[in-house]
Amino acid sequence: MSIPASVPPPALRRHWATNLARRSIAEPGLLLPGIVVALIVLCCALAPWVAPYDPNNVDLANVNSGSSAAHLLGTDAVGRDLLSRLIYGGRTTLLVPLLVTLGAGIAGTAFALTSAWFGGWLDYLIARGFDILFAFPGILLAILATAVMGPGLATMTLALVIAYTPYVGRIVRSEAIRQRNLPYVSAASLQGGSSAGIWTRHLLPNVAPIVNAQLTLAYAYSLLDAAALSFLGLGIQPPTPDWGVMVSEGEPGLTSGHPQESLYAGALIVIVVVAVSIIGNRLADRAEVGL
Amino acid sequence: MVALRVFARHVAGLAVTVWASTIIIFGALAVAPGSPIAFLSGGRALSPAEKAALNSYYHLHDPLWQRYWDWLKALLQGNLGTSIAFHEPVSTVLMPRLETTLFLVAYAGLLIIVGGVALGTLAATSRRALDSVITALTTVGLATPAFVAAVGLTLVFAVHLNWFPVFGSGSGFGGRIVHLTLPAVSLALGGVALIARITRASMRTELASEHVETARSRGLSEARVVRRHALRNALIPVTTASGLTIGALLAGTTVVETAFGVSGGGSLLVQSVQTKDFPVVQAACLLLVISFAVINSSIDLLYGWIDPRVRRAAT
Amino acid sequence: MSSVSSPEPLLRVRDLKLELVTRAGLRRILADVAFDIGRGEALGLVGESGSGKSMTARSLIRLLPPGARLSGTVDLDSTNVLTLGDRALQRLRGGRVGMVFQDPHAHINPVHTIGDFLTEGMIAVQGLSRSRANRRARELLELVHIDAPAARLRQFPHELSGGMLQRVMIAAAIAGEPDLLIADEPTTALDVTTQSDVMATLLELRAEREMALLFITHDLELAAATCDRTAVIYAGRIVEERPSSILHRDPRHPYTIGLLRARPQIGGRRALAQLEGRAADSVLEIGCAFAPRCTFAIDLCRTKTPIQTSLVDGRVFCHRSDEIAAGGTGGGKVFQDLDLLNAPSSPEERPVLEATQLRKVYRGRRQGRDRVAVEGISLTLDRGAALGIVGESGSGKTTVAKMLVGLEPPTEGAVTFPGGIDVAGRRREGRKQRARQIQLVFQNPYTSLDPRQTIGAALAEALRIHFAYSREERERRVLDLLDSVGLDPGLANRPPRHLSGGQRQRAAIARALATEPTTLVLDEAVSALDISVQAQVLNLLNRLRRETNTALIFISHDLAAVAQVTDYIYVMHQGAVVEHGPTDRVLTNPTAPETQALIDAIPREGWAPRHLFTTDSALPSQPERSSA
Repeated sequence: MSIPASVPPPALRRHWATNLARRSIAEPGLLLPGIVVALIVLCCALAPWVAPYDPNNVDLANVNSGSSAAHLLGTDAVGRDLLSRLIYGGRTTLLVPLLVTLGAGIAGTAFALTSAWFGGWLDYLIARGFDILFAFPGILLAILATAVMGPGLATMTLALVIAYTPYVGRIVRSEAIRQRNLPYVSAASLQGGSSAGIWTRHLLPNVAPIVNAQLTLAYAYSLLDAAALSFLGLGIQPPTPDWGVMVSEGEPGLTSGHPQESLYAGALIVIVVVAVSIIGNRLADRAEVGL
Repeated sequence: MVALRVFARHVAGLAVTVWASTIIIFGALAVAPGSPIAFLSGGRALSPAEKAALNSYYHLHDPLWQRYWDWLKALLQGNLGTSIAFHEPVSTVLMPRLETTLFLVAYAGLLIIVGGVALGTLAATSRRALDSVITALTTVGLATPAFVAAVGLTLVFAVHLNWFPVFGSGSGFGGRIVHLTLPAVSLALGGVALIARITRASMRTELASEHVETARSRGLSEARVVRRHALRNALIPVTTASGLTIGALLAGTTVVETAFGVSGGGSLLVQSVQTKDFPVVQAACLLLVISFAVINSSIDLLYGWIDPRVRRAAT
Repeated sequence: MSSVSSPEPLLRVRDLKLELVTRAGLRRILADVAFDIGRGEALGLVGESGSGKSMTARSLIRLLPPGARLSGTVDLDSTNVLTLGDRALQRLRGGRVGMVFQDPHAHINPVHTIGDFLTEGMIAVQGLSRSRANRRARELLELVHIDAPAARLRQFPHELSGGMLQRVMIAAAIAGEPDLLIADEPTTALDVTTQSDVMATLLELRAEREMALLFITHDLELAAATCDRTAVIYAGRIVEERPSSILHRDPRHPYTIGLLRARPQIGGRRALAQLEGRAADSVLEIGCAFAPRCTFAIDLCRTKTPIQTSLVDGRVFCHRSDEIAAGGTGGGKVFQDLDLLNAPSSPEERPVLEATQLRKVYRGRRQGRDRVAVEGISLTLDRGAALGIVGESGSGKTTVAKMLVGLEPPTEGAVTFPGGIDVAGRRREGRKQRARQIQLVFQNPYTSLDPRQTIGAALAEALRIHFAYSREERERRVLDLLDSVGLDPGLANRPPRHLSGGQRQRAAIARALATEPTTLVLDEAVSALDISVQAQVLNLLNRLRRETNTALIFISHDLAAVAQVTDYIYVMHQGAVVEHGPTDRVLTNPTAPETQALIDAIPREGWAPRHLFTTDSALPSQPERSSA
């Protein structure tokens, strides 16, 4: 609680990277999931160099093989190398939620801040809009969009951006309004500070931690939704590899003794989402404490 | 008097949500690329009679708002249009399947509330080790999508242990229970984890609260304190979360029914998208959204009963 | 123990030691705590926040957080409470010992009715039938002077005012006919007139039932006026215990002396004892924990823990208590009596602010639900003058503050500044001009400073808006400002969370002074602070006023604190000004009954709580909402 006066005052504006490094070391709970996510992302990003085979290379002489020196994780029902397909598949699986998070983050934050800034009827309108959209489950919106525009990465991403905008927006809005009503904002206003200055110097920095935490969690959840859509055949279309698609493609193998494809792809989804949500929850805890 | 006013406000909110979703669902058709008739036929060759039927249901020659209005009127009369794939009224196709879906949702919802609250309470009241185990489990549970859970459950309980069937929806209450257990568990998994977390967190808050200190200072037994004070109060946030979670199950049935080959409203929706049977897509979406809104509103009403502050503050 | 009069006390506490195992490590909360309470006797236990007074109370019935390690003996008659099994402990809690807590709204479960709250213990612990319990609940409510008890039983806690709810808690605590009632700051969350009321109820019950009372409070005056004996606790150790009247007249421990002199009195302004630094919040193993703040401290105080000195009428733990008693304490100066008021500032007859007929009405959602927050107040403030606004919660005083500084537009009336400065509306130019005229210091220093901004940055920001200083000039000015409020310059690059409450409030004052305003408005600015810290801030305000000729508007529920810094006061009650006049006149010769009630409610020597004219009504007053 109290800090003895002998402790040198901490420097307050450090480089973000220094801050990140310092925090990661201070918190092993963040380090491990961080490393897991970084490794998987790196592998998928460097797929052409990392993957041993072309992911779409069919080898009908070698179907449903188990692990071997040639195929570390075995092959699927048409003899494609599973490891290569998982590595390539991660690219779409991880990219779509990133686009969704960016899109919904920008749109949600923009709407929320507009709402909180102007208040009045505009705030009312935006808040009700969020509520109504929020009552429309994301997957359903994406299914409807697919019905109209046909399946694919673009449709899915767009629909999920719309679905996740209120998810981000509601929390950012209520936090911005909460902060705006705190006495420190009144104090800044009483000192004659400009509105823009109060927003950029006080409100945004105080809202940012919550936005970060929320976006991290939105990434995890939208990954699940996107994978589900691809699983349903309404997202990424085969033969493009994708973890959701692979779970679906591997299903016949479950009852015929070849469950690898579904299991590996499913496990990867769970691992990434666990890691990202641990990071998100940690960020959310911290935002709550106000650090 | 007060209750009536609260009820009226909820109904009004419900009406606005449903109305807004009709706009989204109808509007989706309007923004579809290509000619509406080609879109509605899904590329099939239609007989002139079928074309005429489509035209008359959708009034494709009328202006947009007029079409929306007519569509809405037809909806209110229970006319959901005709399925292009099944050549039957949509309601005939959809209603029996929707029943299966609602059964599945109710089953999963029960699992979520009972399992989530029990697990959360256990975590909140037990020692550190068990608490950590449950927290780890809920983290994984939240991260496991229903279709991955379906893979795991099928492998273990249907293929290896052979306790449950792999596919199908079953008939009769018993048959349904047997067939829908694995789907319901996959569907419920994320919700159980979420409700367990929320229960744990709010129980912890309540157990450390001042009013629980008072209860203890009056000589009440710890079991009674947990039940009547901590759990009772923790149910307030848990109820809200349960409403949202159970509502979201409706959308989740699309995935679970497809994964387990259950013939329900969710899998019908997915098939209809694939077969471009748009009237069915519209109707299924609408019914799912309405069910979602109704569930949420009922939970909101329940909230007033659980939290007296809300009940009285509503005056 | 010499202080013990009766040979066989009801409660006998010895060697009480409490440690808490937390994530941050081991915290020592209590050490060597020992006291007795006789049958029907009242003991006051007085300390500031973090002193361990509440933990002492909780230790007696083992109501402790997980990770608490408690040792020693707590004998209630011949039962050692610390060795009781679970069931026996529960019977003790529901029976022989009752407990009343500070904030009744937080301490009573909001989801159960008053009836359920009262009867739950009777049914579950004492085994009464539901109908008997209901009947008994009604009797108990009558006993604590609650009207329409049958109807109250069906109400929920949030439908009752704080004072009424506190009486409900007292009713619940005496339901098991306890021999000992523990009351932990039972009136701190209440208005002063309500405090008097609740204390009167509590003391009546004690007298009727010959119940012993352990009364925990931060208010030495209140304890001294209501208890037979008073013990003072500091940093987990009792430092002095005496019969109340003697402790008040002849304190022996420097901390007791400090506490008594740090509290402003309504009987006239005086320099307040300046206990420097902040209260220690854990046990010091070696030496006297008070030594760093003590003007009597010698080397011995830092190396050896004081042992008990028995007096004829009590005990004290201080190496120099004999010298203090003899008056020979090296120079004889007790704390720095900064002769603050020898040169009182002389307000010039030059108005710096004028408010005419300010009225504020909050419009209700439906017709006829409008709420008048302020009925109409007019005031003129001269340069360097100090004006007080005093009133209980719901009196409208905070709304007045907001209208004066421009946070709330008045529904009617206007605030004007000399020189025709245009401050109308919320336009930036108007706000900037106004900022040079008037500044506000908020009640809660924890939320009035941006948590992500260092103290220095907060001050620099205000300077940058109003003055074209160079970087060096600005930095120098920041240090000047910190110095003027008595803060260490090293705090400039600390964020607010590294500062104590008192330091934060001083930082907030420094920030308000940065624009060099002619008027400073302080809205309950010392209410959240411990008495010794409060004295620091009050002294600071008097000094600032003298040195900078800044006019003050000091708003508080605490008449004594208002009297300490102001020359003229307004008394508000339910939105209306009921009386105003020179401070001395209003205090000595009040005309409004509301003022008289406020004065009568202040605990002091020879005071006894009475049922006063009170604003306490069935429904809590609506919280003052700040319109967004």
